[in-house]
Amino acid sequence: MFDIIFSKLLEDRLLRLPVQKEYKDITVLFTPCSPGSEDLTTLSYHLDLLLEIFRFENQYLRAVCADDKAMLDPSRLELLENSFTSARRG
Amino acid sequence: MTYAVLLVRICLRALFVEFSTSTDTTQTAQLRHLHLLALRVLQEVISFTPSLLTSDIPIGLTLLKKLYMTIEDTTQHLQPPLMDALLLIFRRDGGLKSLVPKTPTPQRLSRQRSITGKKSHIKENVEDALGPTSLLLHTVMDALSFSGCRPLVTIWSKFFLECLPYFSDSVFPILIPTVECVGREISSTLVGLQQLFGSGGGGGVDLLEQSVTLLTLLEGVLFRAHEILRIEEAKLGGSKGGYDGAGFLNNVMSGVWGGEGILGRSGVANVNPDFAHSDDRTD
Repeated sequence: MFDIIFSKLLEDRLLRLPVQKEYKDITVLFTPCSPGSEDLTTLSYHLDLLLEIFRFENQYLRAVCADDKAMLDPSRLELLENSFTSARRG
Repeated sequence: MTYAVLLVRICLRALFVEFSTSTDTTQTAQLRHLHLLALRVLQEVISFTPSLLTSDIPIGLTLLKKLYMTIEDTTQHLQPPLMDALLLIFRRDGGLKSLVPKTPTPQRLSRQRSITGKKSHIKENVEDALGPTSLLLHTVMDALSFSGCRPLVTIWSKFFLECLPYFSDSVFPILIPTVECVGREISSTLVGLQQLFGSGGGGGVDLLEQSVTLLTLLEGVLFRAHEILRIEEAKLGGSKGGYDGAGFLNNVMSGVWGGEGILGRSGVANVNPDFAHSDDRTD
């Protein structure tokens, strides 16, 4: 269950390459979302499921999350790697 | 890379999802839900994976930027959970290390502010003293002086007081701008109360509570500074064992409101160049 949700999360379109913008004196990366898009509800749904799992699953899952290496498709990881760093000032 | 690291990245990304165009209230509510969920998952993951804070992810800085962005925005509902998440990180981290960017920043905040025309609460030399953590002070000062955040002034005040111990050695640089800002807001609130009483109108409960909150904040900041000062004096062997509260208040007030009656302020507090000429030290 956890793996399935996690995989779905990594495939989420809202986690693709973000856009840089200036806000006052800082620079942030954000992801634009079209109003009415189902992407928003999908991402919320998966995060909601994940939250429930964390709250009610056993400690084993938490340990897996904290210690095990995530064996994921490198291309998926790359999506996050390239698009993260949302908080670079200047 | 652990699942936890990936989850944090996902949550931080989700926190920065925004609509490309204006939208209706239902859609806005969905986006708010997403942001709140992202913060809850983030807090869960951090709570059972403290090692995350030593990773390369600038979690604290990213959350602080989001908090900064909420001040004059319609996303003020995010402020309390963002503050909770930041305090959780500061507690786990034992300081403000999470606010330091992993990569060097070529431009300084004050320069940026002069470009954007944003009012600055703190002077450049204070920013130099604080370094990257100056954004935290800017954020709090902006919130305290922005009328839209006034309903949340109690939460902001509590947040800042809880952050104070983490400034540790840099508490003196924040003292003058903080006292200036809070003092100004207290005056403004008291004037509001005075006008309210003068006109015999009602609804002064909020203003009264805000005044009390701001006064409590001022007291908390001064108390914290006093604590640090005493510790410093003890370290330097300058303490004569007695508590010189009046002397301390003179130090603070002379630094904040003018140069009169300077009996010997702490040199550490002299971060404002306006007062640099009177750098008398007690220690």
